Amino acid sequence: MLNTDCLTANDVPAVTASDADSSATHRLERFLAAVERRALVTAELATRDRDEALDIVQDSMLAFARRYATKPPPQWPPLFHRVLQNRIRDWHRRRNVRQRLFGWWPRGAPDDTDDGGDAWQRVADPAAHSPETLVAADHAGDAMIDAIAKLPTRQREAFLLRVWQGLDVAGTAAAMGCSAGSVKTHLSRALATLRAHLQDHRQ
Amino acid sequence: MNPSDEHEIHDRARAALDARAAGLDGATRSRLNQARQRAVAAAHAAPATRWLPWRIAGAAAAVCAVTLTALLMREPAPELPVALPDDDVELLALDADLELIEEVEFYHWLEDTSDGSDPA
Repeated sequence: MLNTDCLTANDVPAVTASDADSSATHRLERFLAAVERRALVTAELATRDRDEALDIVQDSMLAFARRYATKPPPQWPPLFHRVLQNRIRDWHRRRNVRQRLFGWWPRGAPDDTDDGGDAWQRVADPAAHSPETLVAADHAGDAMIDAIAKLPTRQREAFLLRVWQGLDVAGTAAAMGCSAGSVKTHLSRALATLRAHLQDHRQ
Repeated sequence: MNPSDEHEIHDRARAALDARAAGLDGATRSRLNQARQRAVAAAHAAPATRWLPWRIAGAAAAVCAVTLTALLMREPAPELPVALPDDDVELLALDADLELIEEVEFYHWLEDTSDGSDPA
């Protein structure tokens, strides 16, 4: 069993290249297993909604597998993150459109229809307010998570791809669809924002 | 920014994010696993549809080639036997009014000849 928590996206090509007997299917599955949790956290930071993040990751994995599974594995990490970031941006666009169209509606509904189909989706999750969750909220790491989630979108993308996913500047630029210079600018601003936020948190 | 500050932010961020990823609940991990299996299955299903646009484009190109060949190999339309001079074309166009023209010419002649002397 592969310990996916110890893998970064950059480790995957080396692992798969060394495994000469593994099939293309096995390589793809190992790659997706290595990136899926981080992808979910990335999407959740952007959407602040677990279910929405799961949908985004599922769509991203499907699109990646259909379009890019035949590409050489060393190209997979930036391609996957490009797909993921595009899905996250699409989600933001759709949400903005919904808010423009239905924001005036008192009950906020297009999702509030009484069709009964998503009734269980609207039931509050008791685990979200469990004592464990409340205790965990006091953890020092949550301040950092909260600070990262509050970063502007492009700064958050650059920070997560460079610092957490371990992509180099070129890979980050490819995943974000911008120049290497823009990546450095976004990353620098993200670090400055995080530093200021954490200093405020200490005081 | 102080490099040590930068490293500290990197380390703290990685630790917090890794903890978040490692602490996913079982239901979420199960949904991720299902999504991964569907994606892997889709990668297998993709080759059948991957070439579909090229097949459509190939069929369209074949239809165009057949049509063009049929047009090029069709017998040419017969040419006019003789090219008509411009004057004849003009006359043909005026054919219906020839009688009127002759009458007008006659009246001009009559008017000219009736001015001074009797033509008879």
